[in-house]
Amino acid sequence: MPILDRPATIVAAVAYLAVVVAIGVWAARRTRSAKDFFIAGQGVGLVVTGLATTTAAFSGFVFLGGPGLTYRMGAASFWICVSTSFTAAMLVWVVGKRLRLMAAVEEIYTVPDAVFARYGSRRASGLAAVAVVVGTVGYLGAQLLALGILVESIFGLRALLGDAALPAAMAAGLLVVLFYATAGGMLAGVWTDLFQGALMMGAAVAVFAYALDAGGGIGGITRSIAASERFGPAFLDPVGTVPALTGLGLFFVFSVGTLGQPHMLHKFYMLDDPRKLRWLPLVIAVSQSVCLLIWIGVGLAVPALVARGALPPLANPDEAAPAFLLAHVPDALAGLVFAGVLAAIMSTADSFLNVGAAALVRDLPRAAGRPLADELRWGRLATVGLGVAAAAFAWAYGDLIALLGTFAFGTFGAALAPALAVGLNWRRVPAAAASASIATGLVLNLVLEFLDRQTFFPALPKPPLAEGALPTAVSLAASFAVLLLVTWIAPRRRAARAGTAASAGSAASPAAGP
Amino acid sequence: MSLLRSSLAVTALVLLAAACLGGAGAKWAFGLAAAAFPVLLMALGAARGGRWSRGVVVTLAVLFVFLAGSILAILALPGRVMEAPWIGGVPLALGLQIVGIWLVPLLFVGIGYALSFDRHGLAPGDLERLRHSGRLDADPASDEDP
Repeated sequence: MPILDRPATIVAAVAYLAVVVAIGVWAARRTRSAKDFFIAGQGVGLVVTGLATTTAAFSGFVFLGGPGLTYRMGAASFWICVSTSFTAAMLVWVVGKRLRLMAAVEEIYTVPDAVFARYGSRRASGLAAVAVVVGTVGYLGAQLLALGILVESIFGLRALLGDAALPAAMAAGLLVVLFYATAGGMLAGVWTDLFQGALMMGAAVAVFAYALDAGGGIGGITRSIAASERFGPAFLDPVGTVPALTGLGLFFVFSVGTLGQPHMLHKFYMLDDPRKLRWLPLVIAVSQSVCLLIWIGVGLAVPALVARGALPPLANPDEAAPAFLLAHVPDALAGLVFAGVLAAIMSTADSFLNVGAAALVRDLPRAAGRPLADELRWGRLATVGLGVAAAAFAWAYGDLIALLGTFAFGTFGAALAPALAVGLNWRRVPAAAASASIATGLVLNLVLEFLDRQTFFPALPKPPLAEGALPTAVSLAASFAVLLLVTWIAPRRRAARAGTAASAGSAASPAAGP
Repeated sequence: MSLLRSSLAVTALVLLAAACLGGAGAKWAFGLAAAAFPVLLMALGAARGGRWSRGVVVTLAVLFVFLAGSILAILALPGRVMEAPWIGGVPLALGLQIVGIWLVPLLFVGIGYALSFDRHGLAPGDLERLRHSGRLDADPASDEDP
């Protein structure tokens, strides 16, 4: 049945958009400074920070792509999910505490700001900003494309507009994201994140229950899958459908790579009291795990239903979640879930607009020694420019949502994780090591991913990797190795961080950098 | 601390070698290194003055045992889903992945972190001292470079 014939679904989606707009209007009235715009005035509490971190991390990839990935590769896809048990604690332990403390004594709004404050190097800070912009365009493009596909489905635009439906849907979604991102900046983002996070968690629990019910319990689901010719027992094996290096590579990238995700790290600057870091990992880990129930529940229930003939085989695995919701969940709940997925996509898109705009109007000009006078105004303009550029990029690449998302996550992780994770915890790491590591992660990831996926130039070789090895995992490990080895090779001297907060390279005083 | 940093470098090189060279032992080496690497990073971040509290050591040691043990057991089981025991309606390998790597660490890592926060994180007064001094190197949790 077309979604347009489901008034409850439409009402839920429209109600969601209305609440988001209302929050944007409210937040815009409270946004009076660059500090409000970029880090929510550094006045956000524990639960809001935790939920904002979760919603920033969980995008359309988790709620649409997750069940689709499971339909395609079985339990091997769960390697992405399971590391959430410790990544939140790792984030706070390794980088969150230090970033928040640095923000207490320096004017630090962004990850490149932190790189500059730590290393006192414009080169390292500029390279980090380039990595942030490159990753942002990819990640934001993937979100906007997913947003367009979802809006197209919810409102049944294809029947009305034909081939123009997707660009029209992307444009409509982009306008809403731009509205509250430019109006309220991160202040709007965190409050919509609170609303969105609560919505996502409730929807995930409800859908998980429906998935178990439809599949006949977890035992019924697994028996149906194992007995089917289409899926078979290997589907339930974590290394059954893909080479072991692929599954383990996903685990490595989505655990350690988390340390370089600026949209998550950004949230630590906003916490009103660093002592609240005590319970932040538990809040993030629990909220993430609850949200992942929709991935695991739907991801296993749909193959079981297909195996029994209760659902037709999917032509496109990404249809797993919509197909289940439309066939096995009440209309009102389906509408709530569609709105929740919309929420996830939009909150991530909003976070990236904010992070990318900050890199463009703060970090790159300061790295070049030419800070902008009115960052708030330029920040809003950059937000619009980035959104339009990413939408155009995504449209040009069409169906490469997963490629763009994986590329972006890998870029952030490989480029930024070593300089932050090791550099913030070891004074001896020099700026040269940080620059070498960031450049290695950025360039190697781009080159290996391009060689691995490109089909335009048949003469180019495939990357020299073992069967199933992920280019992103190799880039991440290489950038860590480069940072550590260059640090040991470089002559010892006191790092810039040993100076006062101001002379160590405050982002507000770029001239202080060497 | 030197041993910890050396271990990080060696682990990164093991990951690189396994992913680039392949071979029969690649998945075992990569699996063990993928379990060790985040734990080593957490140990680096949790050090205070180059030392760790007992709570941190226990939390990280148990985490490594669960991660490495579950991964190695999963690698030892593939291809025998139907022959291996099923627990709670799922094959053993899937159960290890869900319970051993996800659910059990989810509970004790977050709680272990919170309970030892005063010793590895911020003690009362730390933040005031940092603000008063205005110096990043006054961060009481930062390590001393040997």
